[in-house]
Amino acid sequence: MTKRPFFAGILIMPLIKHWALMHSVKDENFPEHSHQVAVITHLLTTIRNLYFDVDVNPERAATLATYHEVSETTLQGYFEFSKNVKKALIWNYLAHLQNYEEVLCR
Amino acid sequence: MSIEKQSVFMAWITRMPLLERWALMHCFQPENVSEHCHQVAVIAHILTVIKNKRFGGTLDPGKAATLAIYHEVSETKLQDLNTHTKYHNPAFTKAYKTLEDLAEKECLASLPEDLQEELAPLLVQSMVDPEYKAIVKAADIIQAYVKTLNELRFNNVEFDHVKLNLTKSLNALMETMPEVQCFVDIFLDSCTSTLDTLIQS
Repeated sequence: MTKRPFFAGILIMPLIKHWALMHSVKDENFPEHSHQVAVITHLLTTIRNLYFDVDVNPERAATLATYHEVSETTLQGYFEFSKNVKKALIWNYLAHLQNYEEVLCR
Repeated sequence: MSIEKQSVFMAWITRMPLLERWALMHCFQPENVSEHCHQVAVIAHILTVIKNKRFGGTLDPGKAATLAIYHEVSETKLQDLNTHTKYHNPAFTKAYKTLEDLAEKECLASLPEDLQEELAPLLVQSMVDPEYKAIVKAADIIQAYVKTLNELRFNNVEFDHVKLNLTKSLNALMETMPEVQCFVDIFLDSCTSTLDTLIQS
């Protein structure tokens, strides 16, 4: 059976700091962030379905949130602290890197 | 905007990074309940996808991941109790499980009433579909096993006995759940790789 490093990449996520260029009284890493985003996404979708006559699967939405920072395993929060510097250049660079990252996780 | 009664549900969730796992043991890389839930969600999702694609399963991977996201919600009120205490004797285990049930129902009750029907089968463990519960339990054991391998990688002998116990649990799972065997075969070797090896693989 072919061995894959996908889950090993997920294991790196606790080492990657959110808000990396700022002093935080309580540090936050990407799995903590993703976990909370998953709960919020699940609640948002449940509220949308219940109150606003929409039909979106809350569990699928929560799963997308669980994976939404997977590129950080390769990009290491670069996006966050660089995006406000020169957006055009960075989008270009990111497009290249994210393509590379997708290849890694395939 | 209408004035809604505030719910404390999300406030409890945001406290989950404060709850340490393996609290009675030295860890080279400390781990909290929020990080644990995130990894269990990924493993549960992948296990379900493998089960569906290779072993004729028909479960919803998104539902398995969502159950994993909420599976430790009682710990927001109770903290993470070590296994030896939790399973010290049947009477204590039963009493503690009653507390867990109460904590889960308290979390549920903190939500607006009209959201509770949707969330109840995800938060209250006694209401969880047994097929999905088995997947999340397997993911929980795999996550602990991978954590153990990584502590042992740094010669943290505190985890020697943990590995012995978890190996037995994992072997038992692999006999009845082929998707667990597949997960181990595909993903486990690289979980103790160095970063450079991982990038080059």
